[in-house]
Amino acid sequence: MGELTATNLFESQIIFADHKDLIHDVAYDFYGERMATCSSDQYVKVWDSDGHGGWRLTASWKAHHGSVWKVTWAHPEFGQVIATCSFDRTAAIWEEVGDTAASGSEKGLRTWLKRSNLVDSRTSVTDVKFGPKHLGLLLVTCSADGIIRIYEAPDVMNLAQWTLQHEIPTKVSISCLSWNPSLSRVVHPPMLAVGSDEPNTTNAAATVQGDKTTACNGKVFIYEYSESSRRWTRTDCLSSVQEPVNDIAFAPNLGRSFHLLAVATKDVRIIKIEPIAESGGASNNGAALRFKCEVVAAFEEHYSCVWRVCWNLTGTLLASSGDDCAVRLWKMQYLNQWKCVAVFKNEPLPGDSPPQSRPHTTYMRLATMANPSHMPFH
Amino acid sequence: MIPSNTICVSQEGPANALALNKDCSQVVIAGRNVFKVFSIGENEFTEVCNLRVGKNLNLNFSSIDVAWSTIEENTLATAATNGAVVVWNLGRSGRSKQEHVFSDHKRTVNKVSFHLTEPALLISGSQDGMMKCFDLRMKEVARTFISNTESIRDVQFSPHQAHTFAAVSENGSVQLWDVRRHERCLLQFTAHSGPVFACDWHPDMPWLATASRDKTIKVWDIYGKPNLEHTIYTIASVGHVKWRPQKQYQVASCALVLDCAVHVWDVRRPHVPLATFAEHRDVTTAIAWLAEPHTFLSTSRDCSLYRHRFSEAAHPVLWANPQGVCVSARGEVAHAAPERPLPALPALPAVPDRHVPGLGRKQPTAGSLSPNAQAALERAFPGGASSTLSRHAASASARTVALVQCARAYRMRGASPHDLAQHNAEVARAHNRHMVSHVWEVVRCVYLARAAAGRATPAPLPLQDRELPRVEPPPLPPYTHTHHNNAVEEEPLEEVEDWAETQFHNSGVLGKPTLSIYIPPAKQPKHVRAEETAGWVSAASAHYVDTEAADWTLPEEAFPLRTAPPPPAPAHHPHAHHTSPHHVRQDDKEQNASQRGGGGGASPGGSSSPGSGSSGSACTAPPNLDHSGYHHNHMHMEEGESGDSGLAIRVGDAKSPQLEVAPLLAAALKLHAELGDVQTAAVVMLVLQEHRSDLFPYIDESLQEHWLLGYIELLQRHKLWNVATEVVRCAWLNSVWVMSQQSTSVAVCCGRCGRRTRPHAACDSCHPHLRHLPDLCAVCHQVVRGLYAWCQGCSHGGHLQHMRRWMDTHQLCPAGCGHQCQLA
Repeated sequence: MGELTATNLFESQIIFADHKDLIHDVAYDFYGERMATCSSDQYVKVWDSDGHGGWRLTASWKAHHGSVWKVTWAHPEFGQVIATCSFDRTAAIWEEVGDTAASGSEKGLRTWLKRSNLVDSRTSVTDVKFGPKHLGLLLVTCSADGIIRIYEAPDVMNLAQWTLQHEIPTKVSISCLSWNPSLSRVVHPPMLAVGSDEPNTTNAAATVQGDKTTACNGKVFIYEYSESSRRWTRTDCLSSVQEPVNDIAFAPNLGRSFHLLAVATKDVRIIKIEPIAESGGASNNGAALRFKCEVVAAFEEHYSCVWRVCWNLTGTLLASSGDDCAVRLWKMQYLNQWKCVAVFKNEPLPGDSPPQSRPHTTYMRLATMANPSHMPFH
Repeated sequence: MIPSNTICVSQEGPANALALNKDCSQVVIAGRNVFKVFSIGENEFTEVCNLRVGKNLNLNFSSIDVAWSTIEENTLATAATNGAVVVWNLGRSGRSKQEHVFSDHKRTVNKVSFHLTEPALLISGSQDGMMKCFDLRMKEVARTFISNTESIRDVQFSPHQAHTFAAVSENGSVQLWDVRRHERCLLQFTAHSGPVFACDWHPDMPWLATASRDKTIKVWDIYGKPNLEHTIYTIASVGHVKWRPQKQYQVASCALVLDCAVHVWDVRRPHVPLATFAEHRDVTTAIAWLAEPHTFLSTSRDCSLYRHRFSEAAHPVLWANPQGVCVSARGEVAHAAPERPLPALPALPAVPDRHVPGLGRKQPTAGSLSPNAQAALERAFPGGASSTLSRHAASASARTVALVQCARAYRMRGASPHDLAQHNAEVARAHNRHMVSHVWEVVRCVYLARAAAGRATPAPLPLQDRELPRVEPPPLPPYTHTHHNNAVEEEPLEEVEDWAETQFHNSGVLGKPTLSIYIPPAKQPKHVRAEETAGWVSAASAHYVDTEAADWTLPEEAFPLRTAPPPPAPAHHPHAHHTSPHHVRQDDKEQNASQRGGGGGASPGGSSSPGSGSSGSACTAPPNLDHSGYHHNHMHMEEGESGDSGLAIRVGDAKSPQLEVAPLLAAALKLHAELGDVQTAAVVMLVLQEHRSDLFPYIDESLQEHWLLGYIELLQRHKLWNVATEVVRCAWLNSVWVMSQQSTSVAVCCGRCGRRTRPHAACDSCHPHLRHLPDLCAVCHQVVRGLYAWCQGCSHGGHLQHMRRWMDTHQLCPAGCGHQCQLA
């Protein structure tokens, strides 16, 4: 019993990031041993785990001329590579150079070189994501003017060369996107979900409805790549999400027949997307419904607006953060119910208290569950 | 009443500059092909006069800049591309309002500016690097200031000291001059690393804002020694900058290239604009505030003149994502949140459709704030520039650790399935994963029963009777020799599978497991075997007996299966030779386990230890439905189902009706996978070895591949390379198995120069004439045939005896490379 209780204790620690403006994104690498942060102060910082729970700053550089919205890691197979996107209308690919194997403590800051700068967008680039590894070295960006761009590095050793493979106009402002990380090449074709933060003015709605491809005024769109036509097509629009979307995330799919999509909008939503088995082979003509979508959970606990969602490794736990400045962890429990299992709250600093310069540790007990045995231990 | 919306007028040509008269009721715009005065009305601009008239429209009409006297109602001045400074008098009768032309500058004049108190003084800054002060009464140049820089981009009189003006130049320097002294400047300093395009004096503070191609706006305190107070970072070269009236810290800017929008910054928060006006479709060329903080005008290269209301502003900070959350592969949660969140903004009801004339880009949140909310935002904005980064990690023994420990401890090959299953069940139990442990127990029972059945078969005769080839390899059509119920066997199987699957999918996101694998009783009779088949053993089992009899340690046993997995055979039926003593033993163990695990009472936190207790009870008692979680229930059901229908696991009664185990097991694995535990699914499949073909009808190949790939990725994320490689090695699917051949290459290097060579060939570069010769002995220089001993330090070597002899007497390498060789 003693150690079981211990596993329910979460240890919280403040890291003094020293960014000069808001931090917009935090991203762990593939192994969870490195962390990158990006901020409006145009800097990107890379932190390395010291193996004992501490994080050490190993690189910090000015990456853009505008707010850096997102940072994302490539699969380590391609090296230590991150991509950033910014308000300055560019996305950049950075690679760490030098001896990364050398022991860290005596080494100073490491160098990250800008390998490529993607300047195709005419407006702020709102999101950037590397594609699943089995598709090669792919990068997708989306911009506020609603264009999704998919780049490919034909030679994975040459990160300076990226060819623009696809340009998908969506006609609405796109705020976020997510690759479907499914490893199954056969069953699940490459799939993207994009979320729009288009405000719900009549003006915008008219724009969307005027779009001939869909009569749906949802804010989440599913795009799929068709091998036969070599094109990305919009295969679905989730009409259940009508509010502007701030973040979107596919759950890692390690062996499910359906996909779970988390959407951060006015609430946290978990949407189950189940591909409908095609009876007559490739009936991919857009008219046929490709998915069965179902909202399996929607939570209003965040104060007014949810900003970010993120899944754990196995797609069993969802973390979300919202205007209440708290992180909530959601987990599926008995009878397909998703329940909040933990809340981490940063106390907003009163008035003019000095910044937390010294990391300190607090402990927090997991919220009590209805019945612990209802949670399978996975 | 102030009209609330933005107004706009389009012109025949782009305007380079605009200027307001002193009471801000009229505006003049000037460009290469346009020169007009508008009166600013409530809802529109009205053209008052077009100054670009006359017979000879020479270059004097092509203006770079325009200024309106701050004192004289009717006096205008323009700076022309040909170097002329032209003074206009709107009060002149007749069409031509041109008053005087000063043609003193040799090159383009970039800027003209009136003295703020002396109506007759006008100053100009030119590309030729000079500034000239004109006296409008005398119609002559009063003074010439030589800047000693390449060219002057902006000149502006200080509102604080009447005779001081600032001049900025393309070499990045700022100069302060006294208009009465032309010999030398009062002050000069380098402000930017690139050309400075504009400057603006703060109306109240002794501050000068400078805008540069280096994409920054800098705010200098000019009082005494110039001191850099603030730096604002923008995304493009800054073309113009104007302080917002009555707002001490706010300054508006527009870019020279790239960015069409006008941004208003708070200097205390230098990275994010407070407000953005993005109506223009081309770069903005000039901005001017209407002497109050809520309205300004702008002209753009898109030929339009706009009046912007501050209430129409878009606030980038509102749509910027202020938070970041990430969950790592280690289960840590990182969270970045603003330290001082912006005040809660009550969202206005959907804004009515205001079709702005000449609507440019859509802007999220543009004009969506009420005045109060906007004021609150403005107040909170400068302080909101800090985030807290925190991480939350499960202390020490995280739940993922169990997964890692299990992955390390699980055995996937090298023994019979039931032995492996038993081992793995113990591993799972040791890590408090009772559900998983339970699955393993089931696997163990099923395959132990089958193994027992297989072992028992040599004694009963049917095998020999049917002349089953005992040493047949597994890819053998298993039912060719069966005498009956072949078709009967196939058909219901499919039905059961379909039924189970639909049931499964209909039951919510992850299935409602209590119902998912209920076998309809009507189907059961079809699965009940006639008594005469009791002794029958399938071909695979026969093979199994053979391999069992042989050494179980041979790991290569699975290899033929990889390349050619046996065709999906209908599942074999385990036989009922599972003896009861063993079962009792297992029960005891289970009970002990349950007492250990669940003994503490009702809250074994996070995992469901009652599951272990149920396995014991399920075998002997009817299902105890209120006992535990759904997962448990599922297993329970399976167990209970098997118990009810007399599944052979329970008792060693050969005559009892039997039930398919394969679909149940397949459904269990699927359930685990859907619950996010791909580890169990993948490892069970691996452990089953050749028996996994039982499950193939229920789990199609792509799903199997998905599981394996998923598990491999999971292992790689935890850096369990050895386990991942093991999984690849044990995999039965070609597509997974080839992973071991990807990104694995063997490079052959030349022993002399270290350069890469082609395989089986000498180095091209250092042996051009010995191309066909292989490696030579470093001692005797003969070709080495057979054993080649070499030093791993310098890679020189040769005949073993030669090398031994050499190293007995020498320290250094025989090849003369100077390495101190060590021949192990």
